[in-house]
Amino acid sequence: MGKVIMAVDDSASVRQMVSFTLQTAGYEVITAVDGRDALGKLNGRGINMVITDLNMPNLDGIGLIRQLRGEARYKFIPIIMLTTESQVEKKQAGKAAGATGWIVKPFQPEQLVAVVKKVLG
Amino acid sequence: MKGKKKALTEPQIIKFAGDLTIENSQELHKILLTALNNANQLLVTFEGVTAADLSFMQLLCSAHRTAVRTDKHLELASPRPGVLKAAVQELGFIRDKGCVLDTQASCIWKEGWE
Amino acid sequence: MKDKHREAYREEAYELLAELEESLLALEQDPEDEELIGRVFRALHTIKGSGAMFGFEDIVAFTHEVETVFDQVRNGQVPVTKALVDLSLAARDEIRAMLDGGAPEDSLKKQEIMAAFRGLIPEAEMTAGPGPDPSPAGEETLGAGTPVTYRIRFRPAADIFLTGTNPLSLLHELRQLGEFNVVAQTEAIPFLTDINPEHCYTAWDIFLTTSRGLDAIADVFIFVADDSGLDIQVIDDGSGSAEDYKKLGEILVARGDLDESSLKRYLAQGPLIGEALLQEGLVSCDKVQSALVEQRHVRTVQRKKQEAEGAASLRVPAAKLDKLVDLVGELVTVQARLSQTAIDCNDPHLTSIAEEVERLTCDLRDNALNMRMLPIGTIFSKFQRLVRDLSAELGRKVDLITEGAETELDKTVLERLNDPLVHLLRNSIDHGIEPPEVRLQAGKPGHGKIRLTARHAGAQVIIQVQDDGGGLDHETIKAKAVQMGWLTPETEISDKELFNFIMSPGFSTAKEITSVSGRGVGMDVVKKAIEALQGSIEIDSQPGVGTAITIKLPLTLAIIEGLLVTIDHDFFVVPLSVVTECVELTREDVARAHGHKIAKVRDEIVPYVHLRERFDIEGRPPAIEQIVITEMNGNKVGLVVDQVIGEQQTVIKSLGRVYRSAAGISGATLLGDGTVALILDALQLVQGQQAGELIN
Repeated sequence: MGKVIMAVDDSASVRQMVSFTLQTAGYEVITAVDGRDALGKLNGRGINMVITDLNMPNLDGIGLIRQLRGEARYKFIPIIMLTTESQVEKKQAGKAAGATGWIVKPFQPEQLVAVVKKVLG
Repeated sequence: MKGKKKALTEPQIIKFAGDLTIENSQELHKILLTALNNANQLLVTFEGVTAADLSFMQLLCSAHRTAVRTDKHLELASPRPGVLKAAVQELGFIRDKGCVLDTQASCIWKEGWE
Repeated sequence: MKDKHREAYREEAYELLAELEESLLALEQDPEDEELIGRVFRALHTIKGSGAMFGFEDIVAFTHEVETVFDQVRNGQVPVTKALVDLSLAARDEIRAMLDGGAPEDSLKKQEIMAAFRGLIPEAEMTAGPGPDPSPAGEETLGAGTPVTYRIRFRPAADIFLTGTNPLSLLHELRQLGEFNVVAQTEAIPFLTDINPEHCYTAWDIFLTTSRGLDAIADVFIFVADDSGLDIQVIDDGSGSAEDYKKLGEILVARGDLDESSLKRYLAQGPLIGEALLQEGLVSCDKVQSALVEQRHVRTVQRKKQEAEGAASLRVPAAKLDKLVDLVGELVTVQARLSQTAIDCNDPHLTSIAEEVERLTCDLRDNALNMRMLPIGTIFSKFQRLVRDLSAELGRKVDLITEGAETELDKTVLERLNDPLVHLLRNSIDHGIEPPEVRLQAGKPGHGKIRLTARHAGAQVIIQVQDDGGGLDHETIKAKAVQMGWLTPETEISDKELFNFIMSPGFSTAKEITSVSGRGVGMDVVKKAIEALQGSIEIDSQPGVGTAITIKLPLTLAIIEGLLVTIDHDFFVVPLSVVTECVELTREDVARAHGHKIAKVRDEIVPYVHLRERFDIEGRPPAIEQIVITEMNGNKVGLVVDQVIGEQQTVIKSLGRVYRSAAGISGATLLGDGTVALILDALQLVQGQQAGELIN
């Protein structure tokens, strides 16, 4: 049974790249365009991991991480944030909110898979 | 000897199964706590365990320490599923000798994990 | 696949640009609207962030400037003005042009816009331009070198589970890097009544032997390093051996878990320090366990390493190697026959097979001979002691300097080289290096130097024993030679020729007879030994400066490069190492020499040995004979034969006992067609001749 990963990003091209890469690596991927969309789509559903962008409308990445950590179901799952080099403070805020790790944009598909494998064990 | 006398009474059996992981750690904690409050002798079985992680090792170790301190007896049964053994090994819990608290010389990490 | 993603990005970027334009225009009407400012920022941010993913570097660099300004706008540090909106719209157009692929690289307009945006930010707020951050994964330092053993002490934050990290997967990841052992430190686990089951109370001592380097380890902890206690130490750099790793007590002291004085006190009590420490509770069981595992880990790793090294080399009795070389020799002979047959048959298939066999045989021969090669350093090392002892005995002060210890020589050659070298060193100390007071008077340092060097030169090894002693005394040697009847007092003779007499039997000039040298047996023995090894020896000396003795040896004795020649129907091989050239000898040349066996080769008079006569071979020589010019000890001597056939790989077979004393023949070999060819001992052949011609 493949593990399920939710990918949240407001950039369609990033979503496409992430889901294509992860599906190729054998994961099941659910995508969402922002934090609010992500929470709606999850709706208590069991997933193994979340990859989220930080800058998003409606509910941003930090807000999403906080909400997820507040729910028993997602309290301990790995959450990886997608950051850019200029977002050092955001990265800190993300970690404080409970993010597991980060990937710096731009990244190569192999890096993405390496990080996913790392945190999913 | 005190310990031997106790061994004559029927132990309470806790049957652990499923995922002994962080998600369930609160519940597992409650089970162990209640059992130790209500019985002098505990036998823990692991048939049907499908996963185990650090949180469970900590709980087991804590339960054993608590039992020793309160002069109770906690014993782990065999068989022990591979996933459990693997976790104990990989997390480095196996011991040659029990710790200072192990005054009964009954440390649970000494045998049965290889 | 990449193109597909690029296309998706382009479409998305067009949409974002449209949204950006719309937002900017709205913002012009309502400059304070935070929602609008956020939309502008996010559009720019996404254009930049995603652009970087799909290789639009120009867009990334450009948009970065605009985004930076809007980040400031968002924080209220830069106000929204009409000028900013105008500039931003121009920037939007520029991005669009870049997306279309129509904008020239680094257009003036682009530069102007970028500069204008930069001008909007206060100096101190300037952020570094976009550049890829060191990525957390994907880049691995591979092959960082030899395996090193690390002790990693990892104490995660209590809330590590709440950030989605499972310590088990970190340990798992480390395990992939190499030989791995782990001991949990469980002291901090509280009683059941006090425990928070979602907290981490455990720390780990991890022992890891990996060649991947520190970076690979740091990568494992990249997400948790900031919040965890992490200490990585090298405990074994791979140079130690299994037996001498630290004792338990020492490990604890090295870690700071136990102090030195306590260790001493416990050691005094008895050998089982672990037990004693535990009983007294001086060191916790976790720490003792960890030290025990460390000890086991390092010992295991070192033992494995030694086993691996042991398996990498194999002891084989020398006799087996000799047998192998013998067999290879036979094979070389058969292969030569095969090649000859292939040529005779003129069959292309057979020829190609023969060529293949020849190539393989050649490789096999080189490999087999190589197995018997030993570094000359194995005998050099004992000379240090010899020189030390001898110089003390003779009251000299001598330093032996060796060079080229790694030079390899065939085992047999090496074994038989020991005695001659010992002799040469003795001579240098006894005859060469003067007593310290004499040296000081002559303005030399009191300590004499002997340099013993070895090096390869083609198929030969050149070994030199060089001292900075008094040098050879020309007059003394000449007087001795005259006394022995080898020279007349009037004979003019070069140093080189004169020095050769030293190596004649019965020659000794030492004024005092010491236990070391001067008994009349000496250099002649050395010379014989070297010649027996198919080598040559040469002496060079300058009064007051020193003496150098140069030995040239073939790399191996088993197979030599030879020159195949014929006399009548018989085949002979001259070792190629002594051959310098071949010239013709006509009847006229012989006549011109008036009975002397000498030939003029390029204005040089060269004496020769007529082998047909020497070996009493019947029949008439051809009208034009060949002289094979050899050079040994600096002297040229020719060997006259009927015909020179060519170079030949020659496997030396020793002659039976009956033929062993045959003068001028050192061995035999089999030719391709099975014919026997005798190997000429050129030195022996020319010796008599040379002396005779010189006196004439």
